[in-house]
Amino acid sequence: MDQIPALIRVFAFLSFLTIGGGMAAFPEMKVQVVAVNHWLTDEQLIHVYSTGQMSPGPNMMMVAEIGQLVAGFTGAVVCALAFFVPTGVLTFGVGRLWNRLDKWPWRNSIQKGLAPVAIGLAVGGLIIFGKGAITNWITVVLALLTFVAVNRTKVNPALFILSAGVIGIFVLK
Amino acid sequence: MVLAGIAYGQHSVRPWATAGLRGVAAAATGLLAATWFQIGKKSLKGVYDAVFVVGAILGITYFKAGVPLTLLVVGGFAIFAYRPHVKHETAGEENEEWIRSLH
Repeated sequence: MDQIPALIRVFAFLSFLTIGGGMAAFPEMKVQVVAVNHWLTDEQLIHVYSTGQMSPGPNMMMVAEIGQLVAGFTGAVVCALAFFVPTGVLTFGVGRLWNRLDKWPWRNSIQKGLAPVAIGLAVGGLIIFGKGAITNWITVVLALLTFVAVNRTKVNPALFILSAGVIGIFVLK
Repeated sequence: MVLAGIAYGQHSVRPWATAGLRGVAAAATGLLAATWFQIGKKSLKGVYDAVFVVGAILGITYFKAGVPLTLLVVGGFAIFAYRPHVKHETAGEENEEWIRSLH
């Protein structure tokens, strides 16, 4: 329970870094959760993200699982609220303001400028995640197969995730 | 996710659970890479965009600058690069104004 204020502080801060998607905040989440606060190990964070992929809903609901592991049910609720409420309020406010700034010349500059940066941040997060997730040639093959399958087919990606989990049970022990 | 957290807390020491999650993590990497590949293909255009994508990736992975600093520096440059163009008066307009001032 004594971790609750720290959980609120960290996840509220992380919520403002999710520019372009939750993955953009992953590098900072790793720093805060693993290196600074020692709530989880590197491997546990990868596992928690993986369970987030298998569960319905936004994959960044994984923050609730981090809260659960650190401070039980209260931690889960606090983390989810701290992570989603600030960014939700900000999006609502900025969305309203953005519509009013229709004629502002810098509006287009901000949109055009931040789009590639958001993609770069997310890909940076993905690389950091991938360094922990891709540990041997079998994981390389699983990642490549999923990449190709998602790009080439219309099959629900959840099926690939679940299949990889089952393959992992037999092959990655 | 709370249930997933409880289940993970109870079974994370079991080798089969860890192995399954390693498989999921690998597939998640491929899935995310495919998602961002598709988004990038649709929304990125030109050399500037490529430079800012690479800049943000290097800021996070190579320089380990952290998300806030990378966003501030690379984002600042990107917005400046796409700044609104100031409309300069052309030489012809200046000349016409000068001729009008003679009348």
